[in-house]
Amino acid sequence: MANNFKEKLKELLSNKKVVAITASALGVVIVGGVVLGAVLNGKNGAGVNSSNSSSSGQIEQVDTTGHKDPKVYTNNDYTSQMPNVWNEILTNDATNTSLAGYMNSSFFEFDYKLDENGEIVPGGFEIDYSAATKLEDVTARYEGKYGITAEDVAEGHHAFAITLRNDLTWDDGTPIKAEDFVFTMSQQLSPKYLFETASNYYSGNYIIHNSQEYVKQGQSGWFAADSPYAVYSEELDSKIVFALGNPTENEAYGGAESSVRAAVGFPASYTAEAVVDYFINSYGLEASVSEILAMQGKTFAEIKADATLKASWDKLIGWWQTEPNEELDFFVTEYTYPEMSFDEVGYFVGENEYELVMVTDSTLAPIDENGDLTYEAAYYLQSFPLVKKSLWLACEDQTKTPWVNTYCSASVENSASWGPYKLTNYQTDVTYTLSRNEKWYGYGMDEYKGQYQTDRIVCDKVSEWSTAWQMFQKGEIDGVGMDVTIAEEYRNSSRAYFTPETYTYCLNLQSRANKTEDGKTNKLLNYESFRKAISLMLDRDDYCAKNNPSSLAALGLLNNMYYYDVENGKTYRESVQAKEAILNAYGATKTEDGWKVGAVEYTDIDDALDAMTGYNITLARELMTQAYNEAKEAGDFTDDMKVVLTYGIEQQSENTDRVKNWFQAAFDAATVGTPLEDKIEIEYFYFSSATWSKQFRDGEYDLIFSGWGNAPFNPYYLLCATQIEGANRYAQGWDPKAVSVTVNVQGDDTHEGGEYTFNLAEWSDAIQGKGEAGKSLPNFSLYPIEDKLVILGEIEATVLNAYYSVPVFSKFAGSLMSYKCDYISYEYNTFVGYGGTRYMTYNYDDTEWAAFVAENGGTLNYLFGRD
Amino acid sequence: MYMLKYILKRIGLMLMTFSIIIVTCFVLIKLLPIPLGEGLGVDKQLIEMKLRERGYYDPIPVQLWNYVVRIVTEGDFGIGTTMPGYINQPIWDGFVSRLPPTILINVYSSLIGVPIGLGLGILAALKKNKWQDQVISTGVIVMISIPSIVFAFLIQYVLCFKLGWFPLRMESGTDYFSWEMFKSMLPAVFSLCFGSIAGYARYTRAELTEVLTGEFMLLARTKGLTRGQATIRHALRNAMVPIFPMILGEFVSVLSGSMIIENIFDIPGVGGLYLKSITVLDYDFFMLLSGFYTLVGLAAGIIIDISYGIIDPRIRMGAK
Repeated sequence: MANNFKEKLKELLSNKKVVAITASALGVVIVGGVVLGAVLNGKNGAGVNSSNSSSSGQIEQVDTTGHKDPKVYTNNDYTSQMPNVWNEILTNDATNTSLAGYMNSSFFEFDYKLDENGEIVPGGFEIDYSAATKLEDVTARYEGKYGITAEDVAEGHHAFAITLRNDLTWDDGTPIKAEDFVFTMSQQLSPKYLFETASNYYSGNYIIHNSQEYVKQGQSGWFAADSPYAVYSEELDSKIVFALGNPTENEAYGGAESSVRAAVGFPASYTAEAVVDYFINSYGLEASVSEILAMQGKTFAEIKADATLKASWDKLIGWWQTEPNEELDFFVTEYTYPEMSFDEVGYFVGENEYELVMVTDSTLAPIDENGDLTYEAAYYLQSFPLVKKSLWLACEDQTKTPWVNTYCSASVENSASWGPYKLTNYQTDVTYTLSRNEKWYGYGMDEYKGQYQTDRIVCDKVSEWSTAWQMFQKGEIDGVGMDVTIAEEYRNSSRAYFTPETYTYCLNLQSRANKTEDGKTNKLLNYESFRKAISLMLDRDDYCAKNNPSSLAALGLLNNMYYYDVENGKTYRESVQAKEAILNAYGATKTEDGWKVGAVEYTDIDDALDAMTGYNITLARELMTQAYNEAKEAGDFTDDMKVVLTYGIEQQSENTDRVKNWFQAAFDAATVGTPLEDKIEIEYFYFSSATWSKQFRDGEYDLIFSGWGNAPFNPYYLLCATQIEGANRYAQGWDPKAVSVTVNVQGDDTHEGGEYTFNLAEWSDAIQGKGEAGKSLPNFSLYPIEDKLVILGEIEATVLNAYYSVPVFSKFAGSLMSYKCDYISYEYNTFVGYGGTRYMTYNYDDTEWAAFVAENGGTLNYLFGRD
Repeated sequence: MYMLKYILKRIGLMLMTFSIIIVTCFVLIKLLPIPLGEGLGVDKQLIEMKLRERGYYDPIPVQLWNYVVRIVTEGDFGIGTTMPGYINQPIWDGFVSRLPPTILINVYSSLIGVPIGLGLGILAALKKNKWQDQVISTGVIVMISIPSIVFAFLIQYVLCFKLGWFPLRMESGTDYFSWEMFKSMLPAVFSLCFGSIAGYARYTRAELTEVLTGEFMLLARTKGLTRGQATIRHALRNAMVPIFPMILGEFVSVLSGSMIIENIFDIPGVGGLYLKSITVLDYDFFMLLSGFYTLVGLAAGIIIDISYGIIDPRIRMGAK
């Protein structure tokens, strides 16, 4: 697969026909590259993986970073969407956080790994201290507090102390200590503000103890019962009310819905009766509708007290429950989150004024057994939000409900920096300028010798790509995305580079297809044979060539960017488990000697994978016939009907027509000679950009292209959160709880190996560390990496085999870099990108550049080929 | 006196119409589903709590009352929630700060377009069916047929990129009356005024041609007026009756901006704000813009109606 990938990439870069890359995506990549560099700012003298770094006294500015250079180097950038808020408390938006990245520092950061000759090791990385000097596991120190149990102490990885440098300051010289971070978190989680970003600290990769409880304190209302109560006990019986209705039916309960509706994915249009009917007819609940509905509006205590109702309940819960506390799934409750002091939140000043302690309810492993930093330190704990207290309070508006704060919003005056650059000019929707923050602790450090050559970053808003392209040619900006209109011509330019994206784009198939009217039906989508036929009828290479030339065919849900063993640089797609997941999902069969793909048998799995295109028209036709027979037998299809599938778009265009026609042709080809020949049609469905995913989940249309990406070091999270967990899963009609998966794990000294069987939802929880040690569902996130890999492979294979999300392609973004400056390396590194602003070097200063552009007649030619 | 009564009556009707439109807009936008966000790690329950505190889940009449009270008593039109570039910002401030560039490029466009358009129209009418008329009419057809976006791209490519006479985008800063700023606005101004020139020339030619053939023009000439005198004093004044309100209407519409032109030349104006506010479902932004443009439109209607009487004293609004 690796060779295949590399060859395809090579082909992509050399193929004259490769032309299409969208300008917007490329613009983001350029900005992203620069920002990534800004995030990777600074390190102290501790060296690689040093947990006991040098003391952090005041550092003298020395002439080593380039910033003492009398010449002026300006990086001129552009953006199609201007940031207007640049603090992570206030926004999660990538446009806004890109600007924030220049003005913040990192506790720990990724850096290039160099060989003995000082050359960059491709794909390698190191982790360094930057704004922090020490990271310790202090779980034992807090036993009995913040929910830390003796078991947690034995297991470790729950409480961490980060020691800050003692020379951290704001751009005006105001010192920064641990209490500033604690104040910031108290505002981040403030119930007065209810910032949406607060959920970063309880629904992301780790959970700060009591963070959710703190931010929601004082909130009253009706909720799904399992929202305030994580654990069921009989004390709750009189407080929880059985309610299967939709928000309209549950008006008496504030419109709250029980969580079983979200778990299965019922749209708001489904009444309680429709829900029960679905349980009985689709999931085999052995009860009548009236029996179940008789419990509506009753408390659990009332249900238990009535023999008839109790019998109905037993049927229902017996059918549903596989884990503890799932009784709560059917109830709503009126609840007020209790008042809470911030002292109860797991985020506080430690044993000295520079020690910041964080207690998590989940496990993290940012340091290894030797106390050295692991990739998790730079990935999960890179930095925490920080605001300058005096400025924050000055920007606070308590007259609004909830409160509003204009800190770091739309003006230089409201802005503060503790990173390598500070904001010196800002005009809404026009431009911003960042200049050196001379107070930044990193300047003058040996680690940055020759780095941060950039004196200023000027970013203008340029809405149209064509304007940006002309500005680039005139030397006014230093990088531009490669639009489809120039891609073919400039692809071989010496200044062109291509950036892989983590996103894999899938064709999602409707999982609650139930429309039959006027001789048209979409119900064949409910048949696995039909969905598998769709997957096998897609000639992905042809799709990429005709619709997205700067993309590669994708067969897996995670592309080559994902690492399962970050420390050792092992990517998931290179693993045997990942390869087998694909071979299994696309019709290859395992033989005694190897794998059989089509009629050919391969002894080497890589050869088998290279032969696997995911396209098997013969098998697709057989499956089409099988689907026809199954649907006809079940009464879902008759010969006078047509299969009409609606393809969701926001606006019709040449591109959408091309894609729709391509799929129509694929259906036509896959049904030749089958009973479905000429009986499948694709029609457009026009959705709203604000509600497209909800409309799809609600079953309003049948086909949608979408991609998930990011989190390249946590494939477990990305795969499970997007494909299994109810909140983001498109296939709402597919129940992962009903899918049983058996995995054989090896375990180690502290984790028991053996054969484990759980449903897919349980595996999702277990691999993400939500299992409970010593309980029925182990915490597999603590198991050896090889075991986690096996589980990941099984999960991916199982999701692929459901055929609701059919991978089609992954994209690359092409860009051009001006002659003025250069990245340190044009080989993309997942950990540090191209090195960003930190490593950017200049071939011309501002004066020389202006002269160079003038010498070339005011317009630069970027058509010169690579050396 | 009757004119004053007429104006007061129209203003009263305008306010009533405005209220009906605004209430309708408010109710309709509030009937749409409330977006609770999408994506990994999003806590919809928290977002709902926040929106509930903002009153998004109150009964619509209560929300309307609170909205009106908030505007009247505090001048508070709300805070941007989902509008890119305005999140967390008072939306009125954001909107007002974007008006100057839009007004300026439209005013400059009108100042250039109106005299040229009228001049070409007059020349074409006076030279009816001669080569001058043919050339002007052909030019007008070309300018009307080709969308302004094409002119904009051509102007940017030729004048800005190839010839380098103007910058590719509007200068940054707020010194709107500096020479550099004016120069940087000209490509957008030129792109906008082609349509105006063509429109005025076409209407002026048509109106003036008709008026020039009127019997009263013959009478004017027989009174001893020269052709120029008759044309300026009699023909033009009559021809202006439908054209002047058109000019006035254009000046009023300068507040609305042009999404496409502003995008191409990166004018930080209001063009496209309305459409964007609907797309991202920023309710307060949508209501502010709905109210503003409704008010401008209704006021323009009154001003245009009154202007008829100024051009032609025979027209008396509200007279019995």
